[in-house]
Amino acid sequence: MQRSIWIIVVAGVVLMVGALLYYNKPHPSVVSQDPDFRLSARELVQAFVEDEAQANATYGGKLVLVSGIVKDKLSDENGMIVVMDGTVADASVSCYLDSSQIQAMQALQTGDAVAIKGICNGLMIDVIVDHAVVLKPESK
Amino acid sequence: MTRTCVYLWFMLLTMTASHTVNGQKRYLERMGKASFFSSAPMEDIEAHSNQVVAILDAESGELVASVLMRSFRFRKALMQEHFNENYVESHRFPKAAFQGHVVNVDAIDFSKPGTCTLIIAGQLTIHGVTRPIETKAKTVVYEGGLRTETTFNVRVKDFEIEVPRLVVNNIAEVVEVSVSFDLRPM
Repeated sequence: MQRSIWIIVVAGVVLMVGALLYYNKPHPSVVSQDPDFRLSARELVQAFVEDEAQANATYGGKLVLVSGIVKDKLSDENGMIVVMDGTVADASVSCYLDSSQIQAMQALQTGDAVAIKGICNGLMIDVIVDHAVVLKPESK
Repeated sequence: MTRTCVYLWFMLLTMTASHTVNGQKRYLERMGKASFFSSAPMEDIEAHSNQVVAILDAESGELVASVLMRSFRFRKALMQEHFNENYVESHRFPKAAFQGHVVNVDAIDFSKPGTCTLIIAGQLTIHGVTRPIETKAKTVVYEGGLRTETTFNVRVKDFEIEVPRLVVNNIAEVVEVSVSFDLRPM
C-alpha cells in the first residue's frame, strides 16, 4: 500500500516537472540548429513571388540559410536589417538580425558575399528572415 | 501573392516613382512596432513585433500597414507556438493588415515640426477577417519624419479566432493593441 502511494507521488512529481519544463521551454536557438533549407536569396524570393501560399507552406516558420550579396544595411533603435540582393519583381530578402549581431552588422559592407541563417517569416515588401545571425559565406 | 502584399507593392512602386516629382510627400516605415496585451484571470500575455511596414501618403492621407504574424515574439516559446498554430493560424493567414486613411489630413502640416493627433479610419484584417476600425494617434512631426503611436482594442471573437474552452481563462476577450511608427520620407 505504502509503495503504491510512493509510486503515485513520484509519478505526480515527474509529471508536474515535465509539464513545467514543457510550459517554460526555451525559444529554439538559431545559432546551434541546422537549417531546414539552404538556398540563395534569389531562390527564396523567387519562390514567394511565384506562389506565396506554397512558399509559406514550405519555408514559413522554418530555419533557412540564405546566401547572397549585401545590398543595403538599415538600423535604428528598433533593430538591424541586412537587405540581401536577390531582387525578383522588386522584392529582396530582408534579414532582421538578432540583437547579438551588432559587431557582425558593423563589419558587413555593401557588396559583401554573405550567408545568413534565420527563421523565414514570409513575404512583406521583401521576404523576411527573422532572428537572423550572420555566418561566413564558406559556412554554406 | 495576397491582395495586401500586392497593394503594398503597388503603393511602394507608385510612390517611389512619383517621389522625384512630388518631393517628400510619402513616408515609409520598415521597422514599425506593434504589440498586444491580453490580461486574463489566469495570466497576462504580451507579444511584440518590430517588423511592421507602413506607408503614409501625406498628400491624400492614405495609410497602409502590414505585419507578419510570425514576427510577434512572446516571452514563452510555447505561447508563440500556440498563437501561430492554433489561434491566428499563421500558415493560412500570415499577415495582419490595415488599409485606410488619415481623416483629418487636411488639418495636419507634415512640414512643420510640432505635435498633433491623427484620426485614422480604415479596415483591419486579422485571421482573414476584415473589420472597420477608427483610432487616434499621437504624432510628433520633426525635421525629416514623423513619429506616431496609437492604442486600440481588438475583440478576439470579431476576428473569428477560436479560443478553446480549456484556456478561456488564459486569454482575454478583448486584447489591447499598440502600434508605433517612425515614418521617414521615401
